[in-house]
Amino acid sequence: MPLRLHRMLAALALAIASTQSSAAAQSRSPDSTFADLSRDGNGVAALLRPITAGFSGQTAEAAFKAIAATARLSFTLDPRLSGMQSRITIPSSVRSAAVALIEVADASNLRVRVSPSGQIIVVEARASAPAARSATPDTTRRDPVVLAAVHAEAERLERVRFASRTDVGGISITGRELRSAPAFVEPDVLRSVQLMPGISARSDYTAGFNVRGGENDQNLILIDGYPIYSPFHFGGIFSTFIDATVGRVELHRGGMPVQYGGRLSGVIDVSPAEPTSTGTHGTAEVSLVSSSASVGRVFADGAGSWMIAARRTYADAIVNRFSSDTFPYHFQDGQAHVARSWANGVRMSATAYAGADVLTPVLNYSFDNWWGNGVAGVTAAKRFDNARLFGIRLGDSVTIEQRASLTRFSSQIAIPEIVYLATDRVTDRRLAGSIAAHSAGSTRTLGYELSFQDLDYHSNSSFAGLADIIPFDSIRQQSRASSVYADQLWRPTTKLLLQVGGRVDAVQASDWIGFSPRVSMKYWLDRNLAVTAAAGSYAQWMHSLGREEEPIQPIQFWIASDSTLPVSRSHDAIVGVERWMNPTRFFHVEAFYKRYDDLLTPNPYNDAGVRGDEFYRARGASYGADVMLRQLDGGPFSGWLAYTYSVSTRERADGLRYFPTQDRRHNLNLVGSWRSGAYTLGARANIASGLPGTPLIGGYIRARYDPIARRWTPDATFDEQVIPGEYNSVRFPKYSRIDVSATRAGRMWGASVSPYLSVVNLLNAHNPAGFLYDYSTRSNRASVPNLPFAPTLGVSIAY
Amino acid sequence: MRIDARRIAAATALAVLAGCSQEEPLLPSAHEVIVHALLDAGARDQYVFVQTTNGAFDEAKPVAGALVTLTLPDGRSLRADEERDSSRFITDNDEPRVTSAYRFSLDKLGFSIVPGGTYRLRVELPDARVVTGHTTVPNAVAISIMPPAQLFNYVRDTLSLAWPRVPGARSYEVSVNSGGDALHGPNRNPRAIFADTSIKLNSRTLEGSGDHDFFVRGYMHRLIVSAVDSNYYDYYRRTSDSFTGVGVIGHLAGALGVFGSIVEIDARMLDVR
Repeated sequence: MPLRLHRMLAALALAIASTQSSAAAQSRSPDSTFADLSRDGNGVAALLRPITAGFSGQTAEAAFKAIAATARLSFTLDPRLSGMQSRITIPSSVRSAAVALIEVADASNLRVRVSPSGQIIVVEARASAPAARSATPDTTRRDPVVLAAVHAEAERLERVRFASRTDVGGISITGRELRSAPAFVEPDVLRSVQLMPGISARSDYTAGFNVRGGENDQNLILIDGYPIYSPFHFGGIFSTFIDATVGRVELHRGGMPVQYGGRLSGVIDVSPAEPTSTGTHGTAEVSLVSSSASVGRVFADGAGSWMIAARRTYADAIVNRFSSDTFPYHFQDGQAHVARSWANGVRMSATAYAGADVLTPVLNYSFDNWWGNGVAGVTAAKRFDNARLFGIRLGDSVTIEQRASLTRFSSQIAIPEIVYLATDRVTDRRLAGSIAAHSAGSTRTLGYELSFQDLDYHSNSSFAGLADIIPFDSIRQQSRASSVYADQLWRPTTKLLLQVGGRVDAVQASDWIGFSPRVSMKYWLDRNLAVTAAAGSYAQWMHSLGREEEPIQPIQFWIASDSTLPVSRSHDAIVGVERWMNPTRFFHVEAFYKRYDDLLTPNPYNDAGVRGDEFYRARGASYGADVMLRQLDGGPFSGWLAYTYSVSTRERADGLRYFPTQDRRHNLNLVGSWRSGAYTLGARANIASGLPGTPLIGGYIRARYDPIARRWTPDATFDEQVIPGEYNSVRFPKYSRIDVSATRAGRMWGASVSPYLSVVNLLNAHNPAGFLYDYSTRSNRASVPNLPFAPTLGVSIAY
Repeated sequence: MRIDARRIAAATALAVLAGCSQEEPLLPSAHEVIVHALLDAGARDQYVFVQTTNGAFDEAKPVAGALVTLTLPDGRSLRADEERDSSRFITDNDEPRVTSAYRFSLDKLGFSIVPGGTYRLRVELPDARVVTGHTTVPNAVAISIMPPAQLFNYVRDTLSLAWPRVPGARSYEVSVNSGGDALHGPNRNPRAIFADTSIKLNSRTLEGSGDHDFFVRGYMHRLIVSAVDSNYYDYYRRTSDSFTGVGVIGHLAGALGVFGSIVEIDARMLDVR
């Protein structure tokens, strides 16, 4: 094995040595010539990004900056150019950034020029005719006036959000920033999300995570806005999101806007990456266990784009090729996204995802085991300017959006040899739509959501112990939920932004209707400092049967509220401060308090033959504060410091008060990425306090009565029982881990080739995920460790 | 060797993470009483077994000198006789023998197990700890005759059984004993499985879940269907979680274990070949 490792390292070193520095490549193609910007964007991908905004009385300078911010352009302008302060009016429409810039330039008698590398400058338009010269030359001597060129870096989206949204509890991060963190085997968006403040996981093998003290089924996970139910592979170690398809991730850790319903604690919306380059481009990623590839391009002169991607693990193929042993497992994903805008203000997009984990037959066991997700969704939107309804002007512009999606999660574990069968099917059909009216200083939104869930869960086994991971039950349900919401974002003064709304949800099977008000505000103390506050109520009617205490939760199984299972509620309040220290560095701190009512926690004593005993009812609270200091991507260093202090308590209906298993008091993450020339070094350090656990203080032999011989004997199958101490009365040891990575960016055969080496748990810190106790022969306990020291390598290719 | 699926899963996980698991010695710290007691409507003697443990399997000690009483549905209270008898409670070789048995003899004490009746158990240990529990007997009359043997082809046959629902029964237990020596027979301990009001059994039933298959070729099998109360059902329908300890449901106050009741409602003799 060491020999193989040396060979792999040598191969990696060779690959690194043979690639060319991308920096060097860039240095050989300096920007030397500028040309007038044409409507096709001069071949610069960023100039093909869609712009929908219109302008009404703004200065040309403001319009240029707005376009630059939206399309993330980097350009140079001189505010003293005569046309810069021209007031312009351009109706909104969907067009490329290039066309929008040309429109502004034409309206203000300016000219936009662009270099081959995409550098943009704004200059005076060509004089239409030379002015008549004075007959007498000017003989006065004056010093030449040197106009200070302004290098206007497009404002970062985070900064734009700071200026335009209340955004309490929210974090927005690009896929690029997430993948800068060292990763186990390959970059993974949901693992990286757990490095954010307020977010943690029970163990490294948990298909879920906890947001600000909430249980791990309280998070709505969306792919392009469409729900996905169990987005994990391999027992939670990997997520279903193919790295190349991740454009941006929006997190809501509380204070969720009204359009989000059905979960109590958090929302994670993973937006797909959209190609911006002309021509066909793609990526390929080869790691130790999987390969993925993506390909995409823009079309219709930049008004549309598509991307497809696929991934498959191949440990099974490698083991089967080189060993007589078999590795009977693989997972696979496929994702496609297409978007298209039209000049009449219509935009349509569609996203599809399918993935599966497959356990293939091994030895003589006739496995038939698989689980996976499927998502298909389509969105249509149209923007109207100066829209009127029954003669009433609705606003400067109105956007109508309609969404439809179909989500499936299916699993089947069938092992006849040991009499075991577990199947779970969730089919979620959803219609949603909204109408948003925008006017100066105000946006009003009305929306609806109809969701239909068909659920079919069955699990039984002669292994009673398996019920701890996959509860035995047989449940078929149909759930219907109807929701309407309204929301107004209002800026009463330049320093104050208010967002007030409410959501009404009706859950048919529970005969339940609930109102969830939401309010948030931001008050700017100065341009770079704001205080924020939010409060809201939330409801959840889909619940996971997975038990939080289990260190290994490979899959989540979902059932719905009905006449026996109430709809859970939570109410939160958040106050915070956000300060920007410079255009790429900011800090925010938020304190939160969350109260739960009718919380459903899985009942480990449930009886498969009894409906309604699947959960305990509980109530409780989570409170604390989290801090984030973040350096945005763009310079040589990017990263963040995230610290969370959190306390969670629960009280069951039977009176048991306890700290739930996710009650992690302190959690500190330091994530950094340094670029130096062709190299990017990444590091992540995490230290977190221990989670609550139940000590097992002994064991005993369970005897069983033999009605035939009329005597007691050790229970033939499950005689060794453990004796638990007080529930969650001790704390597991703290968790500490340092991960590092190194990537070299280079070019080979015209493609960007970036080999990388990543080491998880560099110091091989021992972090128990749980303990197994043995009181049979020699009393001891053995830890089940979280991820140990694990070096991985791979290569990313982009062309 | 006893098999626990959780241990198998955990062992697999440990194997995957080979070398990373750490063991540390740990002294048991339990201070528990264990009571195994059952009212068998078909038996003339009812037994109660009392042990104490500090949590180590090999240190569960039988308790002598306890005061064990049973309160009948009519309010009478009977005291059990303490006997030195280790044949009624079989333990593995590495575990202490249970030598003290507390017997309620129906014939000697002049009482019967009344279908639907509620019985209350009280155990007072010499160290003053007290255990209480109660059970309501399923409302059926126990069968007393074992029918003649029928041939059962191990490879081909499936036994289908159905029985009427019994008032007061929480579930039904199907027990199979393949006979032979109690410690060295092919099924040293009886195999048992819960069912509703019917079951189909063949040689693959419970395969992989323990030491032996449900049926063993070449042996005469006795099969009994019992209506059981909720104490009995709850105590045996789950096993404790290796990580968290939850799972086993006891209804005794002051002790681990069970005080339940069963009524045999069907019986078969199978000659498995």
